[in-house]
Amino acid sequence: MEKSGSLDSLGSKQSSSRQPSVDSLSSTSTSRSDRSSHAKAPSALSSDSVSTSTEFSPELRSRTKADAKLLRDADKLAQEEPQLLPKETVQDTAKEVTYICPFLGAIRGTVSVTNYRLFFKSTDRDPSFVLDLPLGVISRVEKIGGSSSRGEVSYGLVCKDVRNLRFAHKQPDDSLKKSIFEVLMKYAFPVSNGMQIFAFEYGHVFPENGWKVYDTLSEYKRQGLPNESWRISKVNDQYELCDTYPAILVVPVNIPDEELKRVAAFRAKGRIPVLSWIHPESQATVTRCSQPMVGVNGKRSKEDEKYLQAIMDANAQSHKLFIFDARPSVNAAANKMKGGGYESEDAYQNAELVFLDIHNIHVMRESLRKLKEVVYPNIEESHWLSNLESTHWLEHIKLILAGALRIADKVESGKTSVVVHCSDGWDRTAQLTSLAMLMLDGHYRTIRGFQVLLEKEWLSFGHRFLLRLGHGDKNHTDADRSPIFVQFIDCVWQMTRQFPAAFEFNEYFLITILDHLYSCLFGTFLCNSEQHRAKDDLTKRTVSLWSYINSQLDDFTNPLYVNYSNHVLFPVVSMRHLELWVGYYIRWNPRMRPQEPLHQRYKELLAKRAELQKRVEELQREVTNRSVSSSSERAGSPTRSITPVQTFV
Amino acid sequence: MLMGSKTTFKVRQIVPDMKERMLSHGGLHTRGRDMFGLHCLPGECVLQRAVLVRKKLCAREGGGWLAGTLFCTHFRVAFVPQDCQKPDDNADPVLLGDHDVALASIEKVVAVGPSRTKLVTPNSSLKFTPEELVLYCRDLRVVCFLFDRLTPETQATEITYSIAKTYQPLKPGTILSFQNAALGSVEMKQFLSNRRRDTQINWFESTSDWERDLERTGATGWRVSAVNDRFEMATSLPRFNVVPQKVLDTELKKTFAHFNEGRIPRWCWRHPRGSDLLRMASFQNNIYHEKDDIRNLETLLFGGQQQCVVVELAEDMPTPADIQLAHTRLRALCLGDISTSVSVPDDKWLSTLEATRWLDHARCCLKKAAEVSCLLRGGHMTVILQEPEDRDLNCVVSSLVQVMCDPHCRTLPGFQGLVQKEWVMAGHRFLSRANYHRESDKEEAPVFLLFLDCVWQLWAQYPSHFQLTGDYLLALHDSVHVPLFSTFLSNCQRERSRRSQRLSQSYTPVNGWREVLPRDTSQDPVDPPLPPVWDWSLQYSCNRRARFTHPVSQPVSSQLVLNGNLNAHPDSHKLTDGAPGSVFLLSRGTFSSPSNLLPWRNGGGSGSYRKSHRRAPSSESLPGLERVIKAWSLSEPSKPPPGPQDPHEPLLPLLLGPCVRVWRDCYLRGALQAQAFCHPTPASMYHPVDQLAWEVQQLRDKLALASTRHAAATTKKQESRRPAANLNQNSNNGTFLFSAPRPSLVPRGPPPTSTPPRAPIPAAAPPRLAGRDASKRTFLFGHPADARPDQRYAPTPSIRLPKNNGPSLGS
Repeated sequence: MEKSGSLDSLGSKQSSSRQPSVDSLSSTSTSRSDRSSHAKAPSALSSDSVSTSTEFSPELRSRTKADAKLLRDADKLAQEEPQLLPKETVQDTAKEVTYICPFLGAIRGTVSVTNYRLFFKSTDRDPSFVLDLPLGVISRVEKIGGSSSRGEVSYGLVCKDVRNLRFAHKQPDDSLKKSIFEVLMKYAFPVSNGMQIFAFEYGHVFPENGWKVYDTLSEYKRQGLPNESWRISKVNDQYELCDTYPAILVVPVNIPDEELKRVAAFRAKGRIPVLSWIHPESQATVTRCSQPMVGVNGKRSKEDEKYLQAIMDANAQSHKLFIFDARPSVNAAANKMKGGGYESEDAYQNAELVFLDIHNIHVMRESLRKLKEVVYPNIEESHWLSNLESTHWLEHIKLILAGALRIADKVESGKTSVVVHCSDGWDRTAQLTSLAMLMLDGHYRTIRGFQVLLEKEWLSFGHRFLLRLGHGDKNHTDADRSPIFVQFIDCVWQMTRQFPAAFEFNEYFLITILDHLYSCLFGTFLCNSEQHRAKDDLTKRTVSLWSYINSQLDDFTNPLYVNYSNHVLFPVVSMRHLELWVGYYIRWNPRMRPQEPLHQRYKELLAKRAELQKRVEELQREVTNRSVSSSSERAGSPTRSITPVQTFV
Repeated sequence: MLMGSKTTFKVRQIVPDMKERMLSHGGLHTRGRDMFGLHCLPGECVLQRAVLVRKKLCAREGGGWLAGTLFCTHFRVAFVPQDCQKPDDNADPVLLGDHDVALASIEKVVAVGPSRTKLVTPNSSLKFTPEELVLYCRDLRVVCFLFDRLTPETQATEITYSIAKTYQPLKPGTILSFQNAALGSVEMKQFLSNRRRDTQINWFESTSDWERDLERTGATGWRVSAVNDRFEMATSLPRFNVVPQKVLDTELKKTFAHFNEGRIPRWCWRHPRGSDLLRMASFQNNIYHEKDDIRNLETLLFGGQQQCVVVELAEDMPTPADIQLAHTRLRALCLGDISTSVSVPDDKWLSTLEATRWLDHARCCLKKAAEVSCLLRGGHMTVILQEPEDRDLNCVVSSLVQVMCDPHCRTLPGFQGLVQKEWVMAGHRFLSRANYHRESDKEEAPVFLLFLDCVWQLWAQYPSHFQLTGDYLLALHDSVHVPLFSTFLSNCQRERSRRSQRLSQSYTPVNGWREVLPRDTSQDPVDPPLPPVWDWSLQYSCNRRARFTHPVSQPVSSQLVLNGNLNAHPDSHKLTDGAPGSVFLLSRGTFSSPSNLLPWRNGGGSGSYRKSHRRAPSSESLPGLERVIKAWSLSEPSKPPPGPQDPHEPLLPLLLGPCVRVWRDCYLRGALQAQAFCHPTPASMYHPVDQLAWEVQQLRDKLALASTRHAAATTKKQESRRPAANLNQNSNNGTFLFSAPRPSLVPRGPPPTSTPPRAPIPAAAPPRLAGRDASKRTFLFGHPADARPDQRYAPTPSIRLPKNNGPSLGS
């Protein structure tokens, strides 16, 4: 398979590959998508009736746009089989399978299972119905009931991306032959079956290497580090101080590495307070850590106290330090029983402790489970809002955003340094620091900056992706699974809603990240920590999601982005201004199709502006050439009024 | 803290003071007067002023605070930002500036002191100097002013009193004085009487207006009847009504008695597929039906069609009382209230919102309208909306159906015409429903506001299918609460045309005078002539009005000619299985064909008649009709999407829970909980999209200018055509400007008067020009045929009065 096609051909594939989708009635946008595909590839398959708007919707949208684009085959109108990725091989195919769609009813078709995906194509519908899901999103496969009278067995696939699928098919006559769904189980849970995750096989080469997006030192350099108060420490170079932390840490200048080790002894899992972000002007810092090991006896650590004092002293603007404990105070107190706890204000002079009331991973998991019940497959119309309220999902979102807002406000307005922690400092802490940094620093609101943010605050600081998501593991009841990262992306989405021009990326970017969070196509979200990633040599053996995204930035760019890099965003965190992220949680419901792909329209407006501007210039030039005399009196005003246009661009 | 002592005022003590002040400015009532930076209306008095005040800006405006001066006149509370540019002295008066609030739309005045808050009424006294002044408005705005430490304390106190004293809860007398305050001066009356009506709007006041609409929709077989010219047949119906051609006026006269309030079935609209939409009140059952009457009645119902579906709206729709209750709850929920400090906790917001049932009601109206739209799409039937009084939900549903099905109704003039037709002329009781006079609380119900909410829902789901914008809907929403507009101050056309009479009576209470309507009542010093709400340039600055329309919109295919028999596409919704003459009832979501649907059908003593008559109840096409509606609710996922540009396809709203949303820009404008601190004011005050749209418009203007100059400069006409032709090509690609003339946002240097007749510009008009044979039949975005296409870049002064033009041309 050739790997580099021009964007043009990609564009055409994108539209054609969605040809078989049955997403109906999105009549509104077809014209635009037609246009866009024509614009990209004049020779593309003629005006297909499938809209770009399907990109977030679709049950039917068969494959994620991303995947579609990865496919390099030419014509796929009559695709019987999925377009395979490099190293992807079909493992089994079964005919006469019924997909029991909760929206469209039973659909007969053919199922193929590869080592990467499940591919279903209807045989009884025109246009045909296609379902294409990466096996990574499957959380569990269950056989429902025994053989029915018709000799059919039915299988339920519970997916991680807020949907369930149900298939039924005839039990093979040959009892020795395995059902396709048993084959599926093998490839859906490769880790449990002693196999390799597909990301290690997929070796596509993109023009850009996404693993190079984040370079620790240059990111700290961008922040102006090291400086007179903060130094870069290599004490964790071999991950000996803390195995879940990155190799490079930024710590106060006057704390030697030896002392760091003693601080590490007092912090859960050795996750000492280290710098995440520093305010370019006030030098107020965001630092993160895990809970102190106070225990029931109220243990103290001189080194830890001195360390926090050093963090405070590094910021000359303020003689106070705020410690944000993400947990509800009850939970924090309960942690004392397990040896943890929180900083007492007696022990830490000048520090103020604030609890942010954010619940733990189990509460969040349960909340999302309830949300799934409410939104999939059917939405009860009359009690929608109270049902939504009872999931508490938005309330959790609100608390997280509110916490991040308080942190950002303390740093920006109070010029005070903050320390953020929860219990282990890799779930709620990651959410809070990264959201606060997103509010404080415009760089993280660009596409690459956001990638850096994820690489830094989430991946390098050891958010346990493998454990939280359970890649390739069939143990779906694992209590360590939790949608913490999804929740974070939801918070980001809420912010993009409130500041539509402040982010360089669009909604599709966020959805793509979430899709590939589970897909196991890219190495980005594998493993639990930087140490494991290094050990597994992910950068060599897998492809980064950023390679894919940065190779086609056009699709992920918010056309309205205005670089408010010096602005601090303070989102409104009232429930009244939060919304359920319909484009993600309810995207499988065909009745929820997005009506109007607005960003498409914005793009058109921008294109129109550029075009008109060009024409105006052309004409003006022509006019001046032809009639120098008459233009002199008139030239004044157009030039004056054109200035805002230019500043805007 | 300054409690008691010198800052304690009794409002009554201020009154003489206030009068004095009013008198002292009495001699200055000249037009274009500028008082302390406030551009006053003619005759407007400034009662009080406070300097160094900051106004809290809502999120839409960019958040944060704006410094300026606060004024209280006897018409409005005005706020002039510090660095706002001076208005042109010769510009036409604009009632409300961008930051102003009309006194009549204020509901509550709350003063916030250092340690407490107090509701300020005309009789209350303040025991503290207010630091903050909060105005709760009827239109759900909450306007918040912050006094600076440097604001003189007396100014802060007195302006609070002045507002509390003058805003007044609405009563019959206060309305009139409010109107006089706004429009009562001689200059203002003069100005108003010289105002020309917007000719782009179909006002539905004359026969020709109705005929224009019949022609536009391609409805044949209908005529305009003047039988109600003197409101003798039905007092609440308009003068002119559209009825089947076959029915003679003499026959028609006999039918009025068979309907509640005489509101006979009247034609509203024809769907391009040939169905007609009608509306009527309920039947009067206690009337003896003569044989001839019955034939006439049935002709009225069927028009020229074979089938007839009566859609009963009373059964499963909210009543006006329900709507009122829901709205009251919504207000309470959204406004929050710092004076009582009762507000719904944030975590109960969703369920409380649900419990208001406002969204349910909106969903219900949209659903009904979508069902009716689907029926109409089926073709060749009359769909008759029936409501006992035909004055509330019939208005909602009939107009929603047209918004969904008729792209013309999604343009600004089209929508205004629609409201004229289905609300103003059809006799929606605006006056009683708005309850301006506070005399009939029982009647109060914001049915029109519910309709606006429904339109907003549609707009939010299909923004690019509308020429009008959310800002426009918001402005209309707010205007309903300002009792200045003839549109909303009467219950029907009869009252509207009598209004001036009533006032002339106050001078000469002679009964005989009633019929002789003196045309020059506008000169009457007591009664200002009330403008229609559609005269937007009177209400808002051109900046605000510029946001009423989308600059760019969907293309509409060119070959659209409506003859009412359009069946170019094989139509899956086509109903062929109904026997001619069938009548069905759609009620509670199901169809039936009850024998007593039409009260005369089940006998009434004319059994022989029934036998001989060709019409008979039939249930044959019930399944077909059910299918039409069901198909929609299942969203037809198996059906390939129809061409998006097929304008016959109604914009069917999504009604799932998450799709019907709160109109945040309207209801949550004032929500105090929602006001987080917003440090960064965006660099530009405009939303980027507005900004972008504005720039595109700018460039187009410039392009037009340049190309005309070019045309003038060059002799080679062919070449000058090129850019415009390219533009045209682009418009095929989907984005073209609405051809309605827009006031340009910035003063353009050279006046366009000097431009020669523009050769290239007509070519830049949408491609429809070529395709339409009878120009009046365009079912398209764009102005009616009388507006010239070359108006789009600059209003041509010659066809409009100079007064009507924006400031760019006024000078």
